Amino acid sequence: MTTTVSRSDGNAAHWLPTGAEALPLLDAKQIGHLRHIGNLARQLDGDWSRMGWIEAGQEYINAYRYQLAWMAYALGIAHFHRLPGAPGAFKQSYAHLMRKMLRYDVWNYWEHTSKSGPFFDADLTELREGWRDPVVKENIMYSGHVHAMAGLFGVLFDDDRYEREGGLTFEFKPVFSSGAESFVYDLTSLNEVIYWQMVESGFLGIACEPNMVFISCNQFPMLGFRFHDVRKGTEFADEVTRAYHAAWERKGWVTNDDFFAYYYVKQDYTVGAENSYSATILNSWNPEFVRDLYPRQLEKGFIEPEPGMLLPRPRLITGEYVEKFERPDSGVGLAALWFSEMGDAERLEKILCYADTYLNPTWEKGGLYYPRRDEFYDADGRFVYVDPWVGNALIAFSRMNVPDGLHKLYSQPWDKAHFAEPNLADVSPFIDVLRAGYLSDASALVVTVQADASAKGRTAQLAFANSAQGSGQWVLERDGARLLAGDGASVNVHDGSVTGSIEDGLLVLDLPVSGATDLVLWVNQ
Amino acid sequence: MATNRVKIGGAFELIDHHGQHVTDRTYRGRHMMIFFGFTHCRKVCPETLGKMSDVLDRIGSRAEAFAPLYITVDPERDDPPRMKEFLETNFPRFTGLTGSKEQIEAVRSAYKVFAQRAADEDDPEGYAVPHSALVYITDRSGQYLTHFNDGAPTEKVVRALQAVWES
Repeated sequence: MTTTVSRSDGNAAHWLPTGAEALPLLDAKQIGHLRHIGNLARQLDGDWSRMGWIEAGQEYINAYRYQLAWMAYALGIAHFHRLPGAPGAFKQSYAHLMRKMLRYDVWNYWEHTSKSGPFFDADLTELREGWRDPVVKENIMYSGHVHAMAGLFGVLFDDDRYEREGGLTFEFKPVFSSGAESFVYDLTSLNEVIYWQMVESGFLGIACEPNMVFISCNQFPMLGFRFHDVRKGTEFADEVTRAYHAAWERKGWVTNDDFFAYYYVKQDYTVGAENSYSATILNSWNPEFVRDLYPRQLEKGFIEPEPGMLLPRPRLITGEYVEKFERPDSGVGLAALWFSEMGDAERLEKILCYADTYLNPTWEKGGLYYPRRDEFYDADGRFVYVDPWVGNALIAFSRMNVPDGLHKLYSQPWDKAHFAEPNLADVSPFIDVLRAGYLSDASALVVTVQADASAKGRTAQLAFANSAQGSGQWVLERDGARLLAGDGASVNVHDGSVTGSIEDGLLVLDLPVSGATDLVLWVNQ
Repeated sequence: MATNRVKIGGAFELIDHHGQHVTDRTYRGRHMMIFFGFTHCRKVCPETLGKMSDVLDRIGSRAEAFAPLYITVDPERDDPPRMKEFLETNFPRFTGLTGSKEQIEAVRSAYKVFAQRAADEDDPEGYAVPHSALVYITDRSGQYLTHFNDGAPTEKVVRALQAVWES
């Protein structure tokens, strides 16, 4: 069998198909962020190494839920925009993050927080009766992320595991006391719970902490509604976003200082909270509004500590909320998110330059992150505070994002045809995927892989889905040399250093990998 | 272990615009079409009541299977005579329902309806009650089936009601 499709004569290696040069190729830092997220995702359940913070109760903004959610979003954005042909590079890690997200460690704060208190409601005369179910009412700071994460999983991987009955079950299993409980949901029942709370709120949104409604946290269910619509053919997102926009037009999106509001429900009172976080997510469904505000909001809060660097003005980027409660802020990471979504490459580069210069970028087990540091300023007066939300997730997301990345994911998700294309469906966890995209004109899936530093030369396993297209005949090449050929049922090995087989409909390749290796799966030959 | 589901609707006890005591059971055998609002409403209520009246006109005799109900979220001002006058003049297909503050709160809560008293810029002496704009449809035994928002195209609602009628 001969390969007859055209090959590129451009800058790409001559054995690569036409169009391969346009496929995104991850750089070392991007690969490092994905590796670090994978490392954290694969930690044993209950091992929260590198994710702890000074606040012990999982209530504040560095809680596990925020880290897990934003690491999942980082994986999602990376898969969707940069490595669309490699679901296998993301799916397992994403599922690990999701499993951790459902763990009691992550949501057990709610039984206490749901009692409310003067922190949330100055007019409260006695505590409420708390409840354990973390998604049934309020707590959108958790349920909104579960909603978005579960929906995004289906949208990215065409996998219904969280959509099946009981797919989102929250279990309380005390060791010594009695009273085990399971709170059983799935994507649709969670979608309903959140939708009806939106209705009941007049579409101003659902409280995080009791009595406190944040614009930021209410954007994640907007993603959840949209992803539910994509998966289930429903029409929640249009209704909710339209009504939500109208409700906040009446209430006033921003305070006088152009910070997005948070809202004390009982007191019917709004306070400026922050700008970058809300704007980033709001851009997914309301980009014109966000871009209209962007210049005004930018004016408020940045300094250039050195040429080529940018830093949020202390305690301004995150507004009154942080000021009031005297907590550290995550401004560097939040600003990076914002710039990445706005496509403001110059500012993004400057703030990442600051992070790379002064926030101690650290490589560990092939992964890149910014370790926690609790002091605000070093001996030279430089801002050096890093919390694990920023260091594990937010900068990673910002590096993986593309301009309007969330907006594109929201407005143009993959259709069924995408999932029928050849793709890298699974890959050994020690393999980094640098490039993965299917070129339909060439009928070729291009994948570039390398082993992480600890696994050079190890035999990796890669599984390809949908290799039998058209004629059913396919050829798999490595750096231009034929490794395997075959069809949907059989495999001919052309290189003794590898093995290949068809298992459960997947083309499974075992090959030794060290440095960057280009693989091309030519289909319909 | 059963999946947690949101319960919408339920039993109610109210007064209709003829002054008769009614409950959800009063309408058994027909599909309740329930819209919450208040008669001083200048925009959302007239538009929605008008739209639903049009929908009922368009499904012809099948409309007999539906009981169009307009439940006030402003019981303080919307007594039966006021509702009767408002509806019989403008939207005669609908029956107005009112009740005590507690009764209205109970049915409003059962249907997850937002309503909040607020200042009325056009009537400094009065007030407005911004509210949800959903129309609920039940089965013939009073159980919630579906709902429409105010942005739902008329054609879509017509098709949906025909499907409900045929179910």
